[in-house]
Amino acid sequence: MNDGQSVSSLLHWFKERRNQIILKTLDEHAGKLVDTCTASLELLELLKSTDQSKAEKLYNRVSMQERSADHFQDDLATEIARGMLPPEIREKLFRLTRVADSVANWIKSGSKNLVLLVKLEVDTSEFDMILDYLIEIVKLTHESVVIFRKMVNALGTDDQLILDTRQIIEDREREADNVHFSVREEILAINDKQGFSVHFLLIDAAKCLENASDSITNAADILYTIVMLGIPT
Amino acid sequence: MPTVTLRNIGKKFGRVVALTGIDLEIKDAEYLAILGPSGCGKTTLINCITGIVDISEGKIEIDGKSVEGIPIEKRDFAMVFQNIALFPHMTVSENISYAPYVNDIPHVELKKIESEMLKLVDLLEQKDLYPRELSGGAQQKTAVARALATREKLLILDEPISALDYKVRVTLRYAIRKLVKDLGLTAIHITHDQEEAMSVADRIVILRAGEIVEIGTPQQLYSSPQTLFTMNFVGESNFLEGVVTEVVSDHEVHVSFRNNQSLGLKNGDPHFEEGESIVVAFRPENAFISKKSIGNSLIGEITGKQFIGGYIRYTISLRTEDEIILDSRLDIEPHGNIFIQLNPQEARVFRAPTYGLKKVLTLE
Repeated sequence: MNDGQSVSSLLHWFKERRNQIILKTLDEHAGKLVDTCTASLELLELLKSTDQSKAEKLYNRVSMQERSADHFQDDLATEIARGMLPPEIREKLFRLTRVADSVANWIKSGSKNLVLLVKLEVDTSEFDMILDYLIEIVKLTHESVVIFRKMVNALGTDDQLILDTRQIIEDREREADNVHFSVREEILAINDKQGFSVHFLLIDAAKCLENASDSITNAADILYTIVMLGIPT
Repeated sequence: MPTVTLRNIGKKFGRVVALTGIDLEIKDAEYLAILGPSGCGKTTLINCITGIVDISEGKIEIDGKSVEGIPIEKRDFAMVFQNIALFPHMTVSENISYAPYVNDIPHVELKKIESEMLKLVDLLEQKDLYPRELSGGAQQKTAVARALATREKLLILDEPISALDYKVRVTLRYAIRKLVKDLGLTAIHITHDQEEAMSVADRIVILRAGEIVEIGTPQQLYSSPQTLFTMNFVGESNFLEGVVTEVVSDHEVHVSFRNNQSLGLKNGDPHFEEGESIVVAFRPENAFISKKSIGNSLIGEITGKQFIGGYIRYTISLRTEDEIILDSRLDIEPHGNIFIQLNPQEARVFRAPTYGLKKVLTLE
């Protein structure tokens, strides 16, 4: 047996294994981002109803999913650092995980603002129109994250899919942006009697949820540039 | 026979907390295994019991008497190490009779002990060989015999067979358990190998990050673990995260997963509430696979199939976006949808951990 050849194929095997772990963890991380959006949507739907007793529990679910995403992000940092990747790709992957993870962080922050309203004993069902707008933003983000996950799964196997679908995410982000400005108008039109804190929390919640939509677009862009750079085989 | 009692043992190395709140009672003539991943504090715990290191807090009692201030040589235990540590310049017989020799046991008595131990570990024919002339298994047998020759009733085994190859490990672990039981000793066996712990111990202590996670018999820990960590660490398991959608009765819940997949499960915590996040855990052998649609099942596709021998191991991608492994005797074609029904008696439902499932399952 040629020793040089067997050593090089062994190294190749390790490299492949390590890269597979990175891809699997990227997929699992994206899965947790989807779960965070799903949990947030349930919370927003609940806030439209008059029974808000379970709001805290639903928020905890959002928070749990966000933490789970954090654990996958930590694992990714370790695995990417261990992976045999060119520095440029490695740095882009680091950035990708950080940016993608911020989707869950923004969704959690937005959800927390809304739960604070319940804690202030504000009847959120009065803001059903505003909540509908916020739900729309989260739905668009949710769809984008699902597409992003498909892009992650296509990494290394179907570059064209990544290049094609990135535009869909960008379109959704633009739509979310428009909804964001509409919801701001609605919030500003709320009766002054509600007080400053209600305005502040709603404006901040809308901004956080819109930021989540921005983050997933940025993550898709990074994925796009990784494909354009060409993943070494 | 000795009993060992540990009360609220803690050990710190500077700022590093190696052990915390260890409460444990090792019964007379019990074979206890301490099982945990590398770095969980197993060896530190043994070092505390033996007196190799001082404890930072708590109390250790052997036979009801505190061992505080008692030096190692007076703590009355015999020890077997992972690295075997035989005297290289002594034969098997000389190694075995070393402890009686330094304890000034009369020559006749010493020879009697030596011969008894050689017979016990089946090394009579190799008694005149030096350690370097022995196989790894025979060397470790000599180390066990040397420990037993001290005539102590408390035997401590620190990863005694971890350095040996698989077949020797399997043979030797049964031999050690038989010896311990035949002689009626109390044994503490440290290992990171769950299969080894399950096969030798009367009871197993699961240790993680310096804390006891769970204590139970091998069967209890395998069939009805109380924590997700144990479920993951002892044996193989699948984990599905979901939400309780309906509490039917004290022990029956309906759970929904991603993509509108749902299951009714019987083995639930009586205090689950609707809307609560849960984790369904089940062993690969505790599910039924069918090509035909069956009620109360999850839908998936076979993505991998491996013939193991007595069964086939399937890797299945569920519609819940989870990947699971299942063992079945049925040979199923990997094309198209399959339906997976969990054994309601064996699937376990846990509350979702606040810090995320991944964190709880992490070994380090």
